[in-house]
Amino acid sequence: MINVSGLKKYYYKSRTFLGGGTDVVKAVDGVSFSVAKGETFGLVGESGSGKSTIAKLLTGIVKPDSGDINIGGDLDIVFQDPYSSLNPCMNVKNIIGESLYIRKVKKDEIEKRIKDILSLVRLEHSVLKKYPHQFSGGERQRIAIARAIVRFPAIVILDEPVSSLDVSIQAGILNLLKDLQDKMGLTYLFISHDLRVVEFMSDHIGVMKDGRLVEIAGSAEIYEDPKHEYTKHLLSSIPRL
Amino acid sequence: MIRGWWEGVTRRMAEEIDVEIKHLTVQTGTKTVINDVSFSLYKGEVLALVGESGSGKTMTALSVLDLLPPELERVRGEIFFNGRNIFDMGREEIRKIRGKEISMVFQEPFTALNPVMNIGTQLSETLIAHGCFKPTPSKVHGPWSIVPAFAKASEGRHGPIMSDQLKHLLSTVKLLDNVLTAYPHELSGGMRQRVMIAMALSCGPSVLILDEPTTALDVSIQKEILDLIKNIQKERALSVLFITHDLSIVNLIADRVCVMRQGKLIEIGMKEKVLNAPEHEYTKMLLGCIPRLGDTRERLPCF
Amino acid sequence: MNFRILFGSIIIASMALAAIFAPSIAGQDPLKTDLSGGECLKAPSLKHLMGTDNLGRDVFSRMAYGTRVSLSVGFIAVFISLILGVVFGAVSGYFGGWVDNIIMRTVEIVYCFPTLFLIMIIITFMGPSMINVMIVIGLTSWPGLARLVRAEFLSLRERDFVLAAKVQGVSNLRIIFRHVLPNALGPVFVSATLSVGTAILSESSLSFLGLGVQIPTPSWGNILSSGRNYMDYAWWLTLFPGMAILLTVLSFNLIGESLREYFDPRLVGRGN
Repeated sequence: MINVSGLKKYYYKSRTFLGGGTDVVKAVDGVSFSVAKGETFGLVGESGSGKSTIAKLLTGIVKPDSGDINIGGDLDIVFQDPYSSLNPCMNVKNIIGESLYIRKVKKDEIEKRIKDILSLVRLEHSVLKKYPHQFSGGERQRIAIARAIVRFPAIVILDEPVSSLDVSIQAGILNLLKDLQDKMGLTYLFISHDLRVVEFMSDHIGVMKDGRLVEIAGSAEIYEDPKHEYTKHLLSSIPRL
Repeated sequence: MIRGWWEGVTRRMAEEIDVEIKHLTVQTGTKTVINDVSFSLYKGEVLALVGESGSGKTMTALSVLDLLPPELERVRGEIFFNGRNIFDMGREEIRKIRGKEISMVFQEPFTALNPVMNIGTQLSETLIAHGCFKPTPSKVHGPWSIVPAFAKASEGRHGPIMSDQLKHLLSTVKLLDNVLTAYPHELSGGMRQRVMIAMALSCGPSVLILDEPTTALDVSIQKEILDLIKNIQKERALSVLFITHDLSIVNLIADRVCVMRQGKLIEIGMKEKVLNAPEHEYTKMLLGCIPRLGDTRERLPCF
Repeated sequence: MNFRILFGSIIIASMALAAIFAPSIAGQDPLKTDLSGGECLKAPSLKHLMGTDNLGRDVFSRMAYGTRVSLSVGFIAVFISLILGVVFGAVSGYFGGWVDNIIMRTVEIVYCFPTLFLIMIIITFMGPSMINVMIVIGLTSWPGLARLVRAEFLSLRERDFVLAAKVQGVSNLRIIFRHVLPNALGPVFVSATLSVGTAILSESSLSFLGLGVQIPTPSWGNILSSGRNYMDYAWWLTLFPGMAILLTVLSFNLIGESLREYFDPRLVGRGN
């Protein structure tokens, strides 16, 4: 469903005000992986490892320097911060329905789809007339998920979708994402810095460090038999209960 | 009822209390933010205050320093520090306690540091502001330097008088001396949080309040910072109130745990007890909803 | 209710009413001269509420009609500058690159000249008239707005909801007007309100210098101008237009400042 090979994206920034040389930031430095249909591929790494750049490259917002991206279907995205990912000037109905509206879907068809999606993400129909600031973080994230799945994409990129939520809300969103995947046969690219969450969600996991994928393995192998030193280090840092 | 229960099972009865909160109730308008909360922080222990956003954990901690935002009103309750009610103290008296005897570290180190001042200057300003800077006699230059204010003026931004004290501070948080001349944006998140801890420790407080100090950090950095805090706490026998929403961190750092929800104290007890055999449904849910490595559950419990 | 908003709104509302109903409240023809001896330069009385001028015209009627000129110049000029400023600022901030470069360099060039001086030069070429004054003030005052809109767009275009819209295939035009602009309108609105005051002041200055609305059509500026020769013994000829200009500009500024505080809560309480 997703096939990525040799992906590279470098950023250049001048070191001083007067341009005395430039620094190269290798955000993504030769990354290859593939994700099968209906599967969840987890990308885990610390801040600055390049995992969010991969999300942006896949969506096409950012163009890669080199490498190939093959995507077998429509794609949508859910961002980390539900306070910045919903337009404060639009009501929920317009937020969720926009991608259908611009594709000239009929009005009553849009209404019906939005209502179906709302019950899928377990929100009341009464939310439609409300604006984002009237919701809690968890509810906003449900709205963001509804927006992402309303036109039945094949792939959903989840860029740290639960990192800014409380643990109990986080659990609800993770359950919801699993339910949606079962019902709609979605393919997920799940990005997070929290190995526990990634491991809970994913079939395969890629560990990222400094723009490179240092290890790709099945979800269970990663913690039972980590191969790379960095993976071991990450595992040992996780607080255990 | 809860009090009676935990006082019976903990071995802390005879030990000294550092901070004691009694029936604290705080409201904003008609909404109760903290609802009749009572607990004690014993000398030399780490007490984790756990709860989700809106549980009142941060407000409880701010009450200890009498730093509640103006829209919140304390309706009832006392907080005793060294046997004295802090709400009876005068403004000057409480100001002397803040930062000197009880100090606090916040979640976001970047906003707490001034971006246009280097770390050395900020550390020394903290020292001077609290009046705990100690001039080293051998390094005093000229007669003026004995007076702190003149010393500051004549020594410039990070003069030699204070640098020994500053270097010592940095070494307690395992930072190198060159951090003194660095600016906040040049440091990583973990280093900034170390600087904040150094600032909090600068006057040798006996109580340290840490408000989600590692939430904004990567897991591997989080572990380093938690280890550092634990070491310093043991070395100096500090009493630490550690605020977090993550029960799994509790295991690494705390002696006792206090769980709060919607302004109420739900459960308090020794770490082993609360984590392994929680009494309250809410605590069980909080523990259950964190995914664990090798989790075979298909669904997580949630409300 | 904020006192400043209340004060500003009352003044502007009464000015607007005066402008709309000028013919009925004026009572007398503002252009009718009366040189029959005793009617020139008469002090305010019940018959002439604001006195008469050197040609025996009723100053109150002239002021009422002048309100029409001042307010319409203010609003239309700002409307023109708003459209130019928003379009150029939005394009510049949203697309960046060479488009941004060209627009911003143009803005800087316009900024190099003192605005009133620039307006005067253009007016001397185009010829003084009310329409020309509106157009020229509009054409010279958009760069400030464009910069403001650009800055708002620069920060908003990186927000996640804009990225989400891009991912969903929403067109650039729709993103600009539906997603970014509504979120940028607060500060733009504030700035526009403040510009109305400035535009009215510019019109008055031009008319005072004889480059604006032409005699005998009344405007606050030219009433003030014609009154300055008689300032020693006919104070009403300068006081009333001066007060009108002052109060109107002040009201727009008060409303603008209050709106700014409303949209930017950080500023609240700083003045007290």
